[in-house]
Amino acid sequence: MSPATPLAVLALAATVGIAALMALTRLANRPGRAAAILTPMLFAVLVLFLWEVLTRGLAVPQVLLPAPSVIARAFWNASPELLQDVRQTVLFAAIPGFVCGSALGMVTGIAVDRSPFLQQGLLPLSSFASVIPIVGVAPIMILWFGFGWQSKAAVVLLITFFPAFVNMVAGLREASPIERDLMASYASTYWQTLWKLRLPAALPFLFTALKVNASLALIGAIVAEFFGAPVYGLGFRISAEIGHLALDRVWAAIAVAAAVGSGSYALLTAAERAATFWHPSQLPGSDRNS
Amino acid sequence: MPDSPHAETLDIETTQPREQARAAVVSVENVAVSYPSREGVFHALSDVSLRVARREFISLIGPSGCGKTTLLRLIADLAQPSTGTIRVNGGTSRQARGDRSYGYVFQTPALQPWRTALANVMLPLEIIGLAANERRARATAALMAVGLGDAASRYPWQLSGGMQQRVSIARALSLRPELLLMDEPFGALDEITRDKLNLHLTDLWRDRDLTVIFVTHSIPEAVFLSTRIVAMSAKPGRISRVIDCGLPRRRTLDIRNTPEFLAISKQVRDALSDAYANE
Ligand SMILES: Nc1ncnc2c1ncn2[C@@H]1O[C@H](COP(=O)(O)OP(=O)(O)OP(=O)(O)O)[C@@H](O)[C@H]1O
Ligand SMILES: [Mg+2]
Repeated sequence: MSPATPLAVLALAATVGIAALMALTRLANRPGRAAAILTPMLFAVLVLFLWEVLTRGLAVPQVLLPAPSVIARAFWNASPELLQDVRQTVLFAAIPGFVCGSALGMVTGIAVDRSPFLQQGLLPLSSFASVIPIVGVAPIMILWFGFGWQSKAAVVLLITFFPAFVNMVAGLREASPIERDLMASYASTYWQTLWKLRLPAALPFLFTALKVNASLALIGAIVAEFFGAPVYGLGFRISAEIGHLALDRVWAAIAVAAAVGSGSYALLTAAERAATFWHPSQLPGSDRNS
Repeated sequence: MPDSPHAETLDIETTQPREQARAAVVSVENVAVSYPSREGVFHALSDVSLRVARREFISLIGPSGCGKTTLLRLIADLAQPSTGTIRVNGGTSRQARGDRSYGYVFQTPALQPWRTALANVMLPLEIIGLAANERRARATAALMAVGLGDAASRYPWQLSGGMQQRVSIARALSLRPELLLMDEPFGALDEITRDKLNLHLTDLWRDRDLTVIFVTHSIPEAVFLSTRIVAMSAKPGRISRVIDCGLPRRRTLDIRNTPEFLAISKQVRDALSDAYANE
């Protein structure tokens, strides 16, 4: 390769990049839904294009960073395995752990709110427990529950417990004294007030917890597999293929994990918008100036 | 208006509340409320006694911090006195709250933003376990009574401040209480809206034989609405003067230009300037 090639590639990439960014800026400023959807998609295409041109043109070694087309091919060739990996990691570890951890955290949050004894005993303890790097307990979970999905689900449960717990406790404090007095003036019971006032008021907090937990669950499930797993799972795939220096497959697995992560995030955001449409942060006009 | 069972009992214009002898709806006897504070004990209320008869309209007026809200909350059983007794409808305030015998309108509308106006009015009816169709019928009637029939499906953030406060009044009325406790319900509204709602409130009070205890900072509002005005002063919070307000039960806004109205206003103003002088 002549020394002129990298320069030519850089020049091309810069020109295309700047031109495309200017075009995208104009598109982004256009009102309407189409522009709002199109802009990020075109931006992603631009990033992939520049990535492809730069890695190929500058002849970046594959071990450092494979080109997108190489990753896509690896994905295509390995798709049966990757599908099984997703099933193992997401369906068996991340989702059950996420559901149980979030639910347990929220129920504990209500219990702590209900009982002054638990409030004094559990709240300080929990702030201590929440700083423990829980992924570190993965080997112990494997010792307890074996190499299968159960140990991964247990790690995810432990990781997702605290955000759910802490946000439930904070969310239950959201209802104002006047709103509580209002319920009291109807001689409403504790559970009626919880159900009709305090839980709905806590919803924005709960969705924050769920969104945090969705990514924590995926990370937890993948990292837990590094410590030992049956012969599939996204985490297993990443650690095994890196041993073979099959970086294209590693990247393919990462891309799949990213897709699952952003898919679940999008799903939760949509659910949040539907459930907390009344919250100031969701009302029309709230995101216009920010 | 579908639910006005009292329409035919519209009264002959009684001018003077002579009901003192009758069983009081609310009786407050030698009540004190104190909080521990840095300088020892803070007396939010001290030796307050007040009897409110059926169909009276009582206004509590006085400087900020003189204990108006505190007194209202005691009657509503949302707070407890340090000493003294409070009876509502002949029983304890706890029983009265359990029987849902009062409606409380707070200083802010306190509407639930996830509920429409109609659903907000239905909230207390859900709490008492009314059937769904009955809930809807009653809440619709209550919204109509405050002139908001066509805003039923709007959310609180789609309503003006005055409309929100009317929804909260409809919500208090939906339980069909005979006693209405109102804490500066119109404090945040402009003059004209306030006049309109005042007019509305006297109509409701008269047509439904309500007993109302009403907190305000406005002298004209108090004189226009009340049968008796209770002037309070602070430090310690106490009743400084009770002024009878013998205007006819049927009132229009013009009444504010009559000499009687102005005379009563002056009495209230004098009572209040004494209270403020003590500050
Ligand atoms: N829980 C409490 N602890 C300590 N002090 C309190 C408490 N509740 C009320 N107070 C005090 O009691 C006094 C009376 O309060 P209150 O709210 O009844 O006044 P108010 O007459 O309604 O005033 P405003 O016109 O400003 O609404 C105030 O000085 C307040 O600071
Ligand atoms: Mg007050």
